[in-house]
Amino acid sequence: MRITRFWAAILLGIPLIYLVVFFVTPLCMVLADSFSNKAGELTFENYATVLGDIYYWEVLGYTLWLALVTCVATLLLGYPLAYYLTLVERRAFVKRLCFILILMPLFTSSIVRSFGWLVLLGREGLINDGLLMLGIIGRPLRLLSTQTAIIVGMIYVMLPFMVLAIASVLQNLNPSLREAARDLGASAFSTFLRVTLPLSVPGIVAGTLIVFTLSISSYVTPRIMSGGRSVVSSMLIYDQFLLVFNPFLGSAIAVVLLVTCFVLIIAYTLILERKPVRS
Amino acid sequence: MGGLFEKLGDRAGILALSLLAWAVLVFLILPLFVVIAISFTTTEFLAFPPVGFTLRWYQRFLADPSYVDSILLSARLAFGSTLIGFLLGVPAALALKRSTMPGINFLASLFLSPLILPAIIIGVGVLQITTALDFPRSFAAMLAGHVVIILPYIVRTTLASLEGFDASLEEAARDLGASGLVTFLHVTLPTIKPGIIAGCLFGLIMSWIDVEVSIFNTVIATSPIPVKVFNYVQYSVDPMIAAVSAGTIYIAFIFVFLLDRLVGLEKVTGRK
Amino acid sequence: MPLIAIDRVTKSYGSLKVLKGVSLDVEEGEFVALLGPSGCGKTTLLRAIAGFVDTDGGDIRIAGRSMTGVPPNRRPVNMVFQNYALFPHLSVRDNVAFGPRRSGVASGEVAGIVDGALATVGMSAYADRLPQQLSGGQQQRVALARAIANKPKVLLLDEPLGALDLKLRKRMQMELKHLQQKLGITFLFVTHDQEEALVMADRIVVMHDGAIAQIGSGEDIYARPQSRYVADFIGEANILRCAVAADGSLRLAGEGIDLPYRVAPGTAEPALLVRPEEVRVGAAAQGGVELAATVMDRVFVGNATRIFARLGSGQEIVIHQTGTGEGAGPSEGDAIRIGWAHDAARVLTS
Repeated sequence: MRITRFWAAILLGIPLIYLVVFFVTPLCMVLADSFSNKAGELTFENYATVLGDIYYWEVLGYTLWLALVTCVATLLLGYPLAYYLTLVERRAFVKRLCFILILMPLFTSSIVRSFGWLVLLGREGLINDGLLMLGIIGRPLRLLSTQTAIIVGMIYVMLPFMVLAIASVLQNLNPSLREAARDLGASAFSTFLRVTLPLSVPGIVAGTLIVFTLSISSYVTPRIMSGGRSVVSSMLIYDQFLLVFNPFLGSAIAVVLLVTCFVLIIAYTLILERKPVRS
Repeated sequence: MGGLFEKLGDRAGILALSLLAWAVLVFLILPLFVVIAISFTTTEFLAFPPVGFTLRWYQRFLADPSYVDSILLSARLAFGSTLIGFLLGVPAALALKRSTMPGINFLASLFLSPLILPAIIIGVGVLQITTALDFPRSFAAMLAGHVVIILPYIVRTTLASLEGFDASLEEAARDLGASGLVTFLHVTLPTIKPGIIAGCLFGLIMSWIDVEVSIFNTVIATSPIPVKVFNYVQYSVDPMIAAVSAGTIYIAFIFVFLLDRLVGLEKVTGRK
Repeated sequence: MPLIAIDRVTKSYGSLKVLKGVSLDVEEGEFVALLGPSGCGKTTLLRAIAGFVDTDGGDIRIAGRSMTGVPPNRRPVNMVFQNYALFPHLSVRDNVAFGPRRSGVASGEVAGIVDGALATVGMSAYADRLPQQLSGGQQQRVALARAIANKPKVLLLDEPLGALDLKLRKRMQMELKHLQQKLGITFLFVTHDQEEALVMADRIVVMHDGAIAQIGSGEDIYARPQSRYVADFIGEANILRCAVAADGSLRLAGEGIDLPYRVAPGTAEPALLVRPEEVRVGAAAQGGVELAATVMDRVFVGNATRIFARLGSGQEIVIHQTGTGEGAGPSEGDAIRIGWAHDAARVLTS
């Protein structure tokens, strides 16, 4: 049933006002602050600081690198799981168990999940114990506060998003397409390569986009897992707002992060549109 | 013979894939399992595997009013923001789906955009606006921010359930004598209910686990439970914080259970 | 006074005219089929009667009352939807009770109405099931029960048998016909299946391109189609192109053979309709038409043989020969004589 403009305005009015006040306006305020100083003057000094200091470039570069690594790793780990969950496993109760195992971390705060890794990666944690017991290492490795720890933590936090994004596409693929490929003489592997994989590209795109944007802005996991040794952009924003009390510089860092993120996403989608995936 | 080998090869491929998938699943659950396990240790330090079994750490944190207050605060935030999100999101989704007004697609993407925007920037922005409106770092400020981050979940799932909605059901109801409102209440709403419930459950959980928005809009003395755990874990870890963390995992399990009961877990991936 | 009076109704979607001034009267207790191919406007007309389509012009009156501006829930009609539109969250019982509850029937009486409606369609045993627990045919019956529970003056049916398999469809055709006779409610039925219309309807309204091409009983329309379109749409037809001589007599196009039929002189492009079963192989009866033809193909279809032949002019003709056993009759490439009785053919001028 169509609704008239009158009703649309009534139904949309209040939600829209809410979003404008608590979402659009705040973003505009952050943007405005990034061009201000304590005296309330219009200035570019915040951007001069952010763009002129190699330190900020390094932090931004590290943030993007971390997001990229997380994207690739979650894709490599998430795709097989999504495939198994949707196209291999037929038993309903096993499927349900899989869903529970995927959703449990998703429904747990990133702080609690990172805490779990702190324990696992500790000097006397399960990982070191296991490696010692197997005789792979002679003495405990320092795992905490290393790049490995940050990356493992990030992969862990983002993996469920990737799995669900890919699974939702695989689940809706018409099974006859795979049967047709087999019928036409394709092996299981080439069916995957030439039919299933190309058709699941939308899921891969959706998954990588969400993992990338979430990674770029994640704060808790890098902070806990790095023990403060590595700095990502969101930590700078946090520090400027809540420790240094310079919201103007903090806003500029936020805007630079946001713009970089948008530019990369747009570039990514443009590349995908220009090069349609061929089988 | 070639066919047999190929079949064996396929079998081996499937087996390898299943093993990999289960390894990833173990990876996904292991940290949660560890947190729960160490929360029962009798030692004063974190020990895995746990030594003995005790509920002492749970007793200790439940006896600490600051933790109980944090949990209650988080619960109030989750339910409050979900209620507001429901009241704003469901009507908005209806209008977004059913209206042919110009610019409606732009509005739809506006409602979904908090989903892809860095939460930390939303947190900062909410701090700015609530400072300007003179209620910074308060329950109301956090509530305002949480509504922004959960609204897209409710709008999205409601939109999705309206997408698959068979318009002839509404026509049938009208044909049988129901008014527009009765049709909505008796036919439309019950049919899209799973979508709305799923959206609200996601809203509850996203508010419940949020750190990024809360951290900018709270004061240390009264912070939601994830922020409190965060502030604690940065400096020290002990079995009591494991018990608190384990508590939030039990809550997550309750949410998974509710999602399964009320909506169905497979719906999470949007089966058509 | 007709029960439904459709008076010059028009409807356009943008530049597409879906209904071009349709007028139709339906009497009480009639079973009328709206028949036509997809896109002919039949479903739009039905939905206009139900109130789901706002017409641009003209008026629809039901029992003397104009329906213009009356919302669907206030019209004395009920509809059986193409895909049944059973409410998936309600049991069969609650689906059927939906209408009576809305129309303010005392709650004590609803149960009786529901039981009655379900008994009428033979679905009493399934009252507590959910729609998705039923087969297609059972869902169809529930949809019927739901639509008649409100005791409408007119029951509108939008291709209600379309989703059923052939065997079930045939059975439901007879059941619907008997149900209509039992209830005495006016049925207005949309279909693209001519056989369905012929089996069930008292009157068939053939629609073409947003207008009514012909109205009549099944026999009427089959035997006396008023246009090539109707002749071709109902049943199988040989439509032979003809030329007109100065005196108005017909001549088979390209054949130079005069035919014993006349039209008004100056009629543009007349044609001759001969049903395949009217064509005989061999010499024609006295006063009939006889032509030379060559057999192109021959197909045995069980109870009959179909012969595809070509006339000297190149026009093709199908002959439906019943009662001939296997092996009998002409075979491919044979030169034969064919013919038909004078009254068996019909001149079409439009």
